[in-house]
Amino acid sequence: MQVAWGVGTDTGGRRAVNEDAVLAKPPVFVVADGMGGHVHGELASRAVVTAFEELAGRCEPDREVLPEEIQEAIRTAQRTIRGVGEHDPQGRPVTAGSTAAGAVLTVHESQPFWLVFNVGDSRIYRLSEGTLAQVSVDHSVVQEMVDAGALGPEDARRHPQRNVITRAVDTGPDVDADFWRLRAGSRDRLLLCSDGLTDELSEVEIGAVLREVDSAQEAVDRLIAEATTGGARDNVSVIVVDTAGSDVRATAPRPTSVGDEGDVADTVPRGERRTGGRDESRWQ
Amino acid sequence: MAMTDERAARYRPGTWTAVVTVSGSALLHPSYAEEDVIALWQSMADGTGIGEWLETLAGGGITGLADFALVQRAGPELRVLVRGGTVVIVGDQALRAEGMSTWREAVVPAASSSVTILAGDDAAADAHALPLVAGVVRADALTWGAPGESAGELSTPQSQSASSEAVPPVLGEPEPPTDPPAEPATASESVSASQAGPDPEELAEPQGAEHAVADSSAADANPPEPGPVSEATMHPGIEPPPDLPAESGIIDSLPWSVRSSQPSPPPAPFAAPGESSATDSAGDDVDEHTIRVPRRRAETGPAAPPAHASTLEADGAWEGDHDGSTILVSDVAAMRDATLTGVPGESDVRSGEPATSLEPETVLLLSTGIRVPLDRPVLIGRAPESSRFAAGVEPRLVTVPSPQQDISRTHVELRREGDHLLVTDLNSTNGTIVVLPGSAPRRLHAGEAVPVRAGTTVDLGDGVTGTIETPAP
Repeated sequence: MQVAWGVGTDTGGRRAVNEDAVLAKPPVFVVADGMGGHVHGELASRAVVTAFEELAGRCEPDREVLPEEIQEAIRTAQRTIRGVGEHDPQGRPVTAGSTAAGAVLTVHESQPFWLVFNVGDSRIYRLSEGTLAQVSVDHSVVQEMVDAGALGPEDARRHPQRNVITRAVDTGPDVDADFWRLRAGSRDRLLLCSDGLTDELSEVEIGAVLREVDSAQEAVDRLIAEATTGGARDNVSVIVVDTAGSDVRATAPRPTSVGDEGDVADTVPRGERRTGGRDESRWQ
Repeated sequence: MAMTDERAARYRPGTWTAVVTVSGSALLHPSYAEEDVIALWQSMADGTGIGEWLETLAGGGITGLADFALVQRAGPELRVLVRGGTVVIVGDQALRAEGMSTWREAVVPAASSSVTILAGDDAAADAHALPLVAGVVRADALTWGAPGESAGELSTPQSQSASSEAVPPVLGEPEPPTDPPAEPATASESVSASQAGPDPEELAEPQGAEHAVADSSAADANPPEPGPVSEATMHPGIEPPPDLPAESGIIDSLPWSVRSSQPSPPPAPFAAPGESSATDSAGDDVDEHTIRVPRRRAETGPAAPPAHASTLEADGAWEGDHDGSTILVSDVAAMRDATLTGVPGESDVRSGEPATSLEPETVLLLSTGIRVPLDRPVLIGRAPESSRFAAGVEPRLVTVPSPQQDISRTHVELRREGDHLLVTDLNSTNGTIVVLPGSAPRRLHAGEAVPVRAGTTVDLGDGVTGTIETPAP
């Protein structure tokens, strides 16, 4: 199976630092949105990405990545976050945390699957047959209101508490991720993003870009550009991953993205853009 | 009969939320959550400054902050904060926040002026204004301190009862009266009738025993039906929205409630053993591992001030630290310690689930020749996928051939629920037929779940059937 991806993160127009971190190291793709103040937010999202980078390093094409391994990576990140500075200068306990939204391409029952997971309100969407659908379910207060029928989806986007999450990879107790097992379809496109994107763009706008722009990296760049035009309120992080079976590869090759393929898999430094890459046939 | 008592406000019923206390009043956009209202109420009742009031509303950052107006009495002056389209009229001066990205703050001499708070310029204050000494009501307009030109309306029995119900017990002690209680029928009786007032704890009680949460993807495809179904899809700890008694203007049930100190319900078996197929079908979209008891239920006390309130004090800190940023609910709720003890138990329950409740001996024998153990949830279809599961309880995916594509991608689920085995149609295109031994074939509605037993046959279409088998006892 062929995998092509694009990745980018942007500070946005109104914030001084980027507390998001992203990882695109096949077969592991993760977006992490840190919180807890400048230093702590960076620390937490970095801890998430580092833990998953280690997981990616252990992956082999024919071995299935299990949900338990992802869970363990999250626990590892929590240990890291807990281990750094118990208290702030005022003596108060530090509460640093991060979201984690990710997808791991792995074999399952002899077939290629995405193992999708989330903690918090960063999201995973899937564009399948031209239709964009949100896969993950936020761990957030407004999501609970929506579930309860107390709030419509559009109201949720504007609700004052939309940024309050109910689970985080943080200094608190061990947190459990939710998982989804999706077939890695031949023309499917996954979108991973922090809430900075969905705060600024509607699903209609996001879907339009994902349908129109063939290159994963160009799609990422355009999503970020549209979100940050006029100044995004929050950091914006986006990963787009395309999977293509051999049938598609012959008829619709995706353009190779520009950039340094050597280290595209690495964590993208905050506030910078990095190009994506592609990786063929190694992951089933 | 003129309403000269300054403490008595009048309001016009509406959709916004008005909070009236002895120290001041507020009018909040309908999108403010119950916990915001309660936190604001508490802050106002505690006699804190208007800055603290604001913090109870702005804990989630300010860019998404909905409209509000706050008016605090400070000696001979009024402190006023308005945001968005709200209007505060003091005497002949109208305060608006037009064009302001945050809010407008003003200090105005109150003296003997009347004060009116409007949800917007199009709201009229004086139409059908009901009296209110203190409390929380649904209102679009609020006014006080004005000579009671519309006094005739204020003494109707209806308005008295509305006023009574709205007085929370917090306000059991009224402000020392500045003049004799000229109108017992309004002010005094209202206060004494405070037993009818909404108690935050009562508001927080869950409506029923249904702890089911619909899996959102399945729920999308299966729109809620009236009656028991909508109840079953309520989230634990959250009451149904009050779509009926809106005309009363009194908040007796806010759109959602917050559990303050209830122990977490176990991940809920929604099906009562045996009977009750109505309940079963109501919860059909729910499977046990989709249920997550939210952390917040143990953390969000009604009166909890934001934990980070002190950090918000610093000028400019809002934009940098909290504007649009993600924050954890516990940061807002300041009851973190309670959470620390509550959550591990939750995890234990989850991880202990599969081993204890499932019997590995039961199998589904498919017509394709495959034996599928039912020791964990099984999803069968043409190209099945799993939705929202926890590590350790991943459903088993069973792919069956469907040359005619009669079988949906993820067509049917089989899952143990206590002592029962449930077959759930997952909104399949062509439906699922279940044949219980000795019964006529039955086609499940989209999303319907039925309890089955050994010997039952499940027909997915395209010639694919499965029979449930258990070893002889």
